[in-house]
Amino acid sequence: MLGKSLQAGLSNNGMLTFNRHYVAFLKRKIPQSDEVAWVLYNDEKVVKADNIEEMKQFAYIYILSRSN
Amino acid sequence: MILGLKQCSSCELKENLWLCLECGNVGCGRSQFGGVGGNSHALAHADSSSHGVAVKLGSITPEGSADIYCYKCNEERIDPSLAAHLAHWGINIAESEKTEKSLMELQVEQNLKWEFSMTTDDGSVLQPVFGPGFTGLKNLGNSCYLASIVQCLFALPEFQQRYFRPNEDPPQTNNPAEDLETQLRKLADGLLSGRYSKPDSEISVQPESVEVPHQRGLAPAMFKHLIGRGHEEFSTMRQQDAFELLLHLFKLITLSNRTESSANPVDSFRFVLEQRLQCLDCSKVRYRYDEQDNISVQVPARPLASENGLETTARYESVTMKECLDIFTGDEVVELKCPGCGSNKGFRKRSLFKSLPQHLVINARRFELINWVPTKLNIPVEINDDDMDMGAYLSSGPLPTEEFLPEDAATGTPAFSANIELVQQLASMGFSQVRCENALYATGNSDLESAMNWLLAHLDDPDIDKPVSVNSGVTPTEHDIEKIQQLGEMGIDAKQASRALSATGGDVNRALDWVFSHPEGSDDDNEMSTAQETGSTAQPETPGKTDLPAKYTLQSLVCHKGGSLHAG
Repeated sequence: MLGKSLQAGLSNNGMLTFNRHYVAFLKRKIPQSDEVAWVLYNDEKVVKADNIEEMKQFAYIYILSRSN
Repeated sequence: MILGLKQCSSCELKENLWLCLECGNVGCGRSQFGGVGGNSHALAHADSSSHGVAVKLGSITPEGSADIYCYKCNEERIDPSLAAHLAHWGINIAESEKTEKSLMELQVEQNLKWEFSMTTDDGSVLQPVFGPGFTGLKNLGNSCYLASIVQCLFALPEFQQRYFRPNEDPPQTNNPAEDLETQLRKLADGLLSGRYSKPDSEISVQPESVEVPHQRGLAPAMFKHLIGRGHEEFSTMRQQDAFELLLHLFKLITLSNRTESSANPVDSFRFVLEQRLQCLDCSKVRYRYDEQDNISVQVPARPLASENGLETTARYESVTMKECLDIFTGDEVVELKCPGCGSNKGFRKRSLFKSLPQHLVINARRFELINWVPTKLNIPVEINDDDMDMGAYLSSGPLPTEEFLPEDAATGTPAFSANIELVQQLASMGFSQVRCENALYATGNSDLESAMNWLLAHLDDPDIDKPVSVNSGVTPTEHDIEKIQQLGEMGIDAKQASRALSATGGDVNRALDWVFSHPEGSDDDNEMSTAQETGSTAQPETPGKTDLPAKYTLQSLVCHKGGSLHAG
């Protein structure tokens, strides 16, 4: 009984994810240089990301763009 | 209140107490960031008793909300019958007073002050970047899901060209706050002009720091309000699922572009997916084409043996993105009765791209349903920055030698026909046929996950077991003028809004989904009039490209990185 009610309470979002902080990593051309680098957008902070291998491995959404 | 509710049954702690909803044991929670103490006795109780669900005593409000944690699935839960469950333990919810911070409040607090690892592996500080397109978005309290998605979208040329118009007047509207076009242009200007991307000396990392300070960031409050309006989740301050938000934005932007002459930037995500079914007995085939703007790929879980038996979380073999796509487009056998030869042998099913989009959104699904609960698995996916050839996933269409299956009987009736394969998948999870059809009807008949989520959320609906009735004399009910207006502002005319609301029981969001699965003019009875109203617009082109080579490269990622706040 309890179990059923709890499941029903999942709301429209079956995977409610309270304990999370989302960030985005974007491949950008860095201003005033020819460098293309990964940039971390973490709320108001925007920084050049150094090593994003782990981030790539566990990303939730991947956006691929056509390159030709 | 019984005395036992005021102290942990295993130690002296009198705060951060969790009541087991199965046996009434009171134990202290884990210690939390921010100085909340705890000796994890509630967790120990859950482990030793196998009791799953506990409620945090100081978090109960008279309105019936409280922190509820399930130790079995390691996640927060909501209990709609909390008052009754608490009454059993002698707690009168109406007299309860919230005395401690809820997990959400702790989370907001932590998000606001938490520094995402702003240092590199060797300890040097990550360097802030400034300029047009490098504008941060201030956290409005658990709004990082929104910021992450917005940054990804406005980095794309289609969105930049469409909404960043520095030399134009703002669009004509009586109510700019309620106009998505206006708000998107405002956001584009904020992010792309560079005006707001400046170091703010008031925000210093550390008082005596010589580092470049970060920027203040734009606060997208009006935008958040507008896109969340009428949505039961996105209108709240709660943390949300970034992928669901992306799909919600796609919908809203597409709707707002119906009345614009400019190109809809969401089109750059659109493509056609081809599904081919072949009977294993008579070898006849059926093709089905669906327009999509994303794919969800299931990441296969291959557990690694634990090295020392001490690890608390399971580890998994890493999987390449290519393998995920191979599985997505691979053959799969489905059990279906063949309408051609009547055989029950089943079908071979295969999905391929009929066309490929400019930008491909891939949602990596790393969860398994364990006891109905989607459980997240930490499976690493390997993807590098090199070009990826998607040509192999492009279909060349039906072969001349293929024989087609007859169409199902009773075609031509506008009755709802549920996607049989999705029905089957849902049914295999234990839902009844009627419930499956209801769920598919409500969620657009195209996506297993939304249908599943809908089912989980609507199990207690009184009409959940009533068969779908599309035209069985649905009486047009008087819909809230406000709802029709709300849909109107998204570009849906009153007549269609009213029809959509009738079909969905007056739920604005489901009505929105309904509009998408029922494009104007598709209704027989209204074909003439809508054709006249809209005039002779050009046939929409098939989205996506089919030319080769089809090379793709990783452009952006949305990650969730946790200062994981262990609950309970």
